[in-house]
Amino acid sequence: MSNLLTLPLLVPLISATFGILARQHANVQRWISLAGISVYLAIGFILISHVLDQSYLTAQVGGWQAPYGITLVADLLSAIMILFTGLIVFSVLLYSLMTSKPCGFSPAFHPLVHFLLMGASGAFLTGDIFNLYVCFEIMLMSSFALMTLEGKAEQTEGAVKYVVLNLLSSAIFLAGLGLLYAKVGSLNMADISVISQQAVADEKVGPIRLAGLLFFVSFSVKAGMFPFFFWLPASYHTPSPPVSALFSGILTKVGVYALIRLHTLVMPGEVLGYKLLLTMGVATMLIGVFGAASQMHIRRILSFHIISQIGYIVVGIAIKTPLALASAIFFIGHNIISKGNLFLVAGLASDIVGSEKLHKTGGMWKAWPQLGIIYLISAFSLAGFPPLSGFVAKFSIVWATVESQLWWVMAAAIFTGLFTLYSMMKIWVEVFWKDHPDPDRDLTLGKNSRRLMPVSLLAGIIIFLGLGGGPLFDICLRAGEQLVNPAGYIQAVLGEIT
Amino acid sequence: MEIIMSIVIGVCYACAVFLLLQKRLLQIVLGIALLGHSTNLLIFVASGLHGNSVPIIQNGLKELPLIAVDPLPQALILTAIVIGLALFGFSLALAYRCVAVLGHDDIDQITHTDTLDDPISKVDSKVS
Amino acid sequence: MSIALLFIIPIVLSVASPFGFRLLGKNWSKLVSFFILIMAGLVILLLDLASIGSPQTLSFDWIPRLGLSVTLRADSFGLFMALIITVIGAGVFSYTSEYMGDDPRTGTITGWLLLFMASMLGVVLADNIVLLFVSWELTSISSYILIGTNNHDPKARAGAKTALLVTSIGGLSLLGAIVLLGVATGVWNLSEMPAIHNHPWAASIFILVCLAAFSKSAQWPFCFWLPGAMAAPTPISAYLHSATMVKAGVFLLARMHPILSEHAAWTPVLVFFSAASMIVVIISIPKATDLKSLLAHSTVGALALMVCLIGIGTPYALNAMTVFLLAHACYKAPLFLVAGSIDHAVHNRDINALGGLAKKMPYTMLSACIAGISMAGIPPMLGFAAKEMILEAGLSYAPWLITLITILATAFVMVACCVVLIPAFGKNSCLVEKAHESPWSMLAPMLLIGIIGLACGLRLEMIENHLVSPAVISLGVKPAGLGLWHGFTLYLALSSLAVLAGWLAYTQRQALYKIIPVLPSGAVIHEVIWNTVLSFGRSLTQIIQNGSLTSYLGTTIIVTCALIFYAWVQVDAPVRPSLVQKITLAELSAGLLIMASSLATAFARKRLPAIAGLGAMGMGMTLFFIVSQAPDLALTQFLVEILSVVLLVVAFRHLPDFVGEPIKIQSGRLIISALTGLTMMVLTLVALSTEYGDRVSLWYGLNALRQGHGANVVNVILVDFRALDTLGEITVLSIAALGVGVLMGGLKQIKTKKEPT
Repeated sequence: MSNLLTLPLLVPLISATFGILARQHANVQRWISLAGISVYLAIGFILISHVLDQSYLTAQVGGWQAPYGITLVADLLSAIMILFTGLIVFSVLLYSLMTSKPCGFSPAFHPLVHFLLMGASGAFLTGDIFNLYVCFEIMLMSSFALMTLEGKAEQTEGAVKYVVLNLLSSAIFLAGLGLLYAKVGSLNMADISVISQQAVADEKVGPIRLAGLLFFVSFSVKAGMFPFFFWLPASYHTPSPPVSALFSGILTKVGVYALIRLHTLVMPGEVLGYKLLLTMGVATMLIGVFGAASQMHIRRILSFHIISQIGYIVVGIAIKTPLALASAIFFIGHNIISKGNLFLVAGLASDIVGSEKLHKTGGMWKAWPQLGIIYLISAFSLAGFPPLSGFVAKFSIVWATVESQLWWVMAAAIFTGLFTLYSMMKIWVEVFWKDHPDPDRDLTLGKNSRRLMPVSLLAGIIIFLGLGGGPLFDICLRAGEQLVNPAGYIQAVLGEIT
Repeated sequence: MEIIMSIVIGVCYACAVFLLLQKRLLQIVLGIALLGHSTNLLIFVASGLHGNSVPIIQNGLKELPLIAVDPLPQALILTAIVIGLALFGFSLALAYRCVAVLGHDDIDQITHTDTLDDPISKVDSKVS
Repeated sequence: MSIALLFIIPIVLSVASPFGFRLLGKNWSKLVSFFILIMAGLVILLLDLASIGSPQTLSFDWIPRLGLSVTLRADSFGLFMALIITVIGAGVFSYTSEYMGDDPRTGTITGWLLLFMASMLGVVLADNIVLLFVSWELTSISSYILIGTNNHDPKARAGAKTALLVTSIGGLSLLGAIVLLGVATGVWNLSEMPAIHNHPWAASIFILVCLAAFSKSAQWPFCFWLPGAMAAPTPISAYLHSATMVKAGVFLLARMHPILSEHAAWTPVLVFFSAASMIVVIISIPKATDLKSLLAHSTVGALALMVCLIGIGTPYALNAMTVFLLAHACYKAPLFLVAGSIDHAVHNRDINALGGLAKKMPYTMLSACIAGISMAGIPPMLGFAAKEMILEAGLSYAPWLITLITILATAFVMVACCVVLIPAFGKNSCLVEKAHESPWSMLAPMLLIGIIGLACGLRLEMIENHLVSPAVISLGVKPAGLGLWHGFTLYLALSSLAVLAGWLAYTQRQALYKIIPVLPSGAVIHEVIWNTVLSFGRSLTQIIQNGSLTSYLGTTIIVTCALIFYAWVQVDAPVRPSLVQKITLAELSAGLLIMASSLATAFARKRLPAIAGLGAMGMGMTLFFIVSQAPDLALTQFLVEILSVVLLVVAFRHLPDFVGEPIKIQSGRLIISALTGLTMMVLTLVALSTEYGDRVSLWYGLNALRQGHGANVVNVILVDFRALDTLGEITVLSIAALGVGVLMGGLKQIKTKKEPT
């Protein structure tokens, strides 16, 4: 069983290494990459079935007992994250294989994607907070390299902001780690949880909270929360569309994942007061959606929407009932898929119409009706329309706010939904319905149903998440219950020590 | 000593932030390096300076004496230093790339990716 | 099972539609129409079941934890609506086949129309309120796509967008309403829902339900989207925007009547908003020149009457509402279809340009007359019976103002009716030459639906026993007797008065046109509100995402410091480092070196001293590590520092030199820096105060040699106890090498750097 937990790290590492070795042979590299991600996806499914069975899986790396060695832990949240990450990376790699330009990507693309995947998996599985930092750095470093892969001017500009702000966040994380270790003398998250619960009981939790606050800021930067999201709209639209899709699916979600762990496990009680977290969530929601409504460029709109959706998730985390956490988790899964798909559709569409600026696009509904339907599915899902995945996500968040009687949060969530719809429609009208400004442009050029494969796959998942929402939401609810009662997690990691 | 060192840490962070807020990319990269140093120092100092011997088990002993300094922060800092080098190297390469592609490294001119370019009114997306 | 068929048939047909059309051409829609007629038959069967008190139900789980299950319940009122939906639907599909002809989009349009029909049936047959919401939103989506059928026309796009945005306000309100309703009662099925007017949330639920209903049914202040939606092809307008979708709001209010009607605000709010809508109609009708837009305005009026009747809420009023709903469906849909036929024949819908078509299009105009008479409320049509009942219900509620407005509104509906007949009997226009009679598949629906209205009026008893009475019973009120002829009553007088007033107004409409005030239209206000919010959002975005990295960094740092200070004041985090401190000269000098070199780096005005400062800082760190018993760290730091300086010197040649700005103008930066320094100092001091317990590192000291077989504990930790960190660290280095290789232009020069660890 313990080997299973190391596989999500090792498989991408191996794929990346072989990818580097095969850099001279584009086709070999692609197949290695696809094989690697397929294995990863399979592991994701196996992992979640085991976790559903046994609630927690743990592996003490190197055989060193927690809290001394590094422990890998999978609870339902980790397993869900691994699975969705696998799904989006699979689709993105599929997309990059189907893309019209056969050698459009640098030979570093596939290895870097796998490194990114390795970092993300490590972050989802590790039970050690310093190891979490290392995984963050793996992820960050590969995302830096991916962002600057094509070396265009705008990518460089975006990357400057992305790199500097994220390095600041890493430094803040590391400083928090130093403080935390100095106070609690441990790095194992379960162990820290025990100590801080004791500290709460003894009313001596102050210093831990200060360290927790540093973590909170650092994770908020990574998650793209207001007022720390600046790097995201500055850079997400600059790399090639599959890279954007990958980033939107993975990076911010890892930040949110870390926030969930921080809020439920490492710092039980409140890191900075739930009202502040709630307020930040609502502000993120609104400011993100306003930003999106102001943009006239497909992927810039989508980037701002990432922020807005993070706000919904943070609201779920802040409320912290099993239902709210379940809805936050469902929201993460839904958002990874829907938003990733929108980025891929945007990539296809802009490739065909020749621009991402809305006033230079058009005519896609007539030329590519299937792509239109796929876009509609993803966009209406993002806006929370039934029976798609976004509906379940938004509905459950609204439910959670009503249960906690947070009327203003509910109003904000509903208001945000309206504006989300507005900007999704803006893209629809400008890219699909409107005629192309250049009547001579042949939009059917390169029309090939193979290119629609990855986006259709994701659209299928969106529908599945909506229609099959019952059992899936129950799983999320179990995950939420696990998070609310960290005792099981601690027991699984530390054994009988507790 | 701890009090003095905490002042040193404060000054280091202040200098790092001051550099980060400057206008040239090279200065910002230097700020990043300084930030790394400050954080390493923070980890080291925060975990205490009260050890009296190096964290190496002397010949003949079976275990580390209690007076030795805490080995774990050292291990963490070691990892952090190496990662810091990687990040620093990449930032430097990015600065190089920036100058090569954009012809300058002036932060105030690196604003094209996130300012609004097309006024809304140009297109028929205006609500009507 | 038959209830499931009502959904399976349209959904299957919808998915098959693009292929079916490719295969059968325009006959596909006729085939669909036939299937829908079968569905209408099914509805009639179900009606029989429902009227004997055993409505068919169907239920299976979807997301039980969120109250969402697919629970359908075929009660009489739902079936009453379903009958309208299917019968008119069958007509519309038959009409579409010729109206659209061989237009290649017909397959898709038929598909969306079928999807719309299925969702509309979902709205009326859902027992579970979440399912009701799901279907409600699906009608919005399909209506959006259908309105935008002519997507090359900016007007169609704008109309579709407005319609979706406005109905979405309602949709989102409905979302809030049902969650509140469900959480408040703990019941998710309408049939089990208790009356909740005493619940503290009742007012909020009521407001949200009203928003949903008013926006869907185009009531004031949302009434403007309906005329805009007329950009859709006419069969779609006839189906969605007169007979079915716009009635969903009225339907919702009727469904909520047993649950909320006891609330004090129910009657005043509904009556007020319906009166406001009627006033808007009165103002708009004389000005409308487009045939379809005229019909749309009169639809708003009719819907307002229904809302008003539900607001009055007496059993008699609900009876009247039900009859009127049926009558309206029977006359408004044919009139739309007539408008469509005229448009189809002469490509013009402007009433000022039309006239004298009765000769060329006799059957079309015949159906216009049948429907028009019903609309005007002239016996023996169903419309007459409905109008009598409306006036009676209104008078029994009594406020004279309401009755007056109602009479005025009916009068103006009469105006609309007269105007609608202009194309038939008006002065011959040049367009007559082009006119031609429509084919039978178009004529049949409008004639037949109109005749149904006539038949209903003639056989009122049958309608009462089989349709209206069961329907109102399932709404929880007593049925009232219907009758075409009540004798010479006040209501008849009022009714005649309304007809007369209408006729007068019609003849004098040019004069009326001049005296009616010009009010800002709802569409304009809607646009102003949206644009205000959008430009606010735009300014906000420009302030927040202003493009300056310096401002981003500054904000992040200031907020972080502020949060930490805020928390530091709030929580108990003592700053009590031990006072007795050993200060060694070596440590002190290392510390001073670090401080001095960092200051030198920060305030260097040229790049060379800055780089030298950084190097000195590295050396200071090395020195500090040496004197603080950390030999491994010192060694690594030393090597890394050398490498960094080498890298800097290499890069240095390619980076432009800078001239630092004078300190004087940097006070803001200095303040932020000082704040950060202070914060970090405080944090360090907090960390130095008491700890919570033993550190895990004690275990490392004890077991490094025994279990890890190494004397250097730091090394044992790195390569053994925490080997995963080291693996990660090496990975980061190799990725960095890869990334730098890419940045420096190509992978060929990659040399993986190896670092001592």
